[in-house]
Amino acid sequence: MSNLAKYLVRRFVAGLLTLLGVVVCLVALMDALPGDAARTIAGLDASPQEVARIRHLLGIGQPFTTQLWDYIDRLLHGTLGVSAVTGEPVLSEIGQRLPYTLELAAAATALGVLSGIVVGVLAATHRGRIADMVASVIGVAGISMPVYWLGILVIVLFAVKLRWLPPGGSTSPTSLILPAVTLSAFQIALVSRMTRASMLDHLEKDYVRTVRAKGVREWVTVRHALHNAFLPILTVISLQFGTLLGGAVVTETIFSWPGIGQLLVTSIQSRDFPTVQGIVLVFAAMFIVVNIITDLAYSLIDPRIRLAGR
Amino acid sequence: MPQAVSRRRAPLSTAPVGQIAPRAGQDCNPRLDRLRVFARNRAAVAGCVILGLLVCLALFAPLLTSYSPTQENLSAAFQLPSSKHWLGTDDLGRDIFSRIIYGGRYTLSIGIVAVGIAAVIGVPLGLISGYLQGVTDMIIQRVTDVLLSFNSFLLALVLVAVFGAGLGSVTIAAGIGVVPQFIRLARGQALSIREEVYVEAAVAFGSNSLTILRRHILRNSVTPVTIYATLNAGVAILVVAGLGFLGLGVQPPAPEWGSMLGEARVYFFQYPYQMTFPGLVIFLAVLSFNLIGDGLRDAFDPGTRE
Repeated sequence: MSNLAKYLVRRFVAGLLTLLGVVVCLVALMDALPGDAARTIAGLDASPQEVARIRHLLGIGQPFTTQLWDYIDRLLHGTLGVSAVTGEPVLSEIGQRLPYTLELAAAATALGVLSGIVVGVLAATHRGRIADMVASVIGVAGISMPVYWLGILVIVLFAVKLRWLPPGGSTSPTSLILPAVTLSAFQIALVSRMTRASMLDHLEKDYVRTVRAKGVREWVTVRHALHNAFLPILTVISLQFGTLLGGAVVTETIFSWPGIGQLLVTSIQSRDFPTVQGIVLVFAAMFIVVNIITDLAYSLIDPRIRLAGR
Repeated sequence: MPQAVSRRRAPLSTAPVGQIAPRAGQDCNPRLDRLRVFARNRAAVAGCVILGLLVCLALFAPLLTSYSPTQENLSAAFQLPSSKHWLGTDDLGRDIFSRIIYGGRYTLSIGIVAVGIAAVIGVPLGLISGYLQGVTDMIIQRVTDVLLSFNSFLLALVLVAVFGAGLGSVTIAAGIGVVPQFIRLARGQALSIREEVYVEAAVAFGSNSLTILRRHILRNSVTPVTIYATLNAGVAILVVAGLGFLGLGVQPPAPEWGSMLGEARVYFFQYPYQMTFPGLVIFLAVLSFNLIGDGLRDAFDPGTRE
């Protein structure tokens, strides 16, 4: 087995164990629901039969180990249970909405990373000048900006005042623009700060001085430095993927974007715990997969990194 | 164990002896020097001013407005900003300025208490994990891995989903949301400090693990933990206000900034001013903590800058 295959197997197993930990936490939280959870979910007007149905569905009253095994058994059979509110399979509800969340996350990441790198490189190559100061303001303002406020501001400006773009929904291809821009703001700020710092570090190094001494154009020098400065940038992108998903929950709610983030909020409001459990598990799996892909990308960007030796 | 041994050692200077001696009138207290560096950082000072202003507004709210933040007055609903109502009124006729300055008491204090909770839980776990290593480290780190696979907001959201909305559960949820980050930071500190000579000396003198953790490792981790806590206070405020915005935070009629934003969302096409000011104060509060945190880091712990 090659080093890469061994590494992949090891990371896959570690990822599965982390997911198992997430499942244990989710079942334990369900077990810790205060009061009569079935009554709370069903509502005060619900019939005793309806309350009993939900109690049976959620496994309320059963020992923790039984609930845990039931959930794992369902997972092994490829299901996530059924919604306590709609009665629909949770997996199919998530399956219908997941493509929207992936589309939004991918668009926001692409926009955030590209813009962040451009801003960060400009700041590093124009250190102490206006471009650097503007980048610093973007950096600190971007990480301080509440995504729920920014989303509303862009709706008021671009949808209500200027009428350039739709305020929400997913009816036209342009519907993606405002949510993606809103969600990418944090990433632009973070990536630009990291790019600036990493580029400044590399622009001081001997190999860059050597490249400059050869008399090449400045952009070639910047390209060399950026290539080597990219690893910490990639680390930040990967570690902040969870923040992106958290932002997606709010962004989807503001823009009525029909992803699983919006479904999570409505499920929490209606106390539909099987759906909440399923969505959280999917979010955790996405985070783990992105981190494994990032580790693989390290070895592609820098061939000196041998995965098996890590 | 002598107290002085526990201090972090300053790197030995290679400068000639004549250059080490302080100039006339110059203080050689390194802590004071770092405070001077902090005070020269204009962004950090701006952060202190903004935060100070927000705290003063919250503290002296009863002196600054005669309007109750919760008293409804339907005949005065949806009034635009004017000399009578500086920031206008909301859908129930409540004065928005009054709600914002009283709201600071909720949002700021929840954010700060949440970070305190996170530090109290996360720092000891991280220090124990890094110092003891072995099975304890492995267990704590695997649990941290699980918690890190959610982000702060998602973790808080799930906790609120289970334990319900409200002041107490939101504060605890926002705090637990940032616990994993504190565990990782404290573990890194412990791993680094346990290799120091003074810790080896303490072990040789027969100090037990608890004493070493408390007297040497915790004491020398205070600066990075304080810096991290300042930066995370902003994150906690974003989490608290985000929960409020979704209707899962502090419940009405309490004037929490995020809840105000969420309530005003219904009318934002017609009355966008209602959302402008609560959003602005959330932004300013988070910005101030970030500016102060950046300034503290640059002054006290420049090695950890990105």
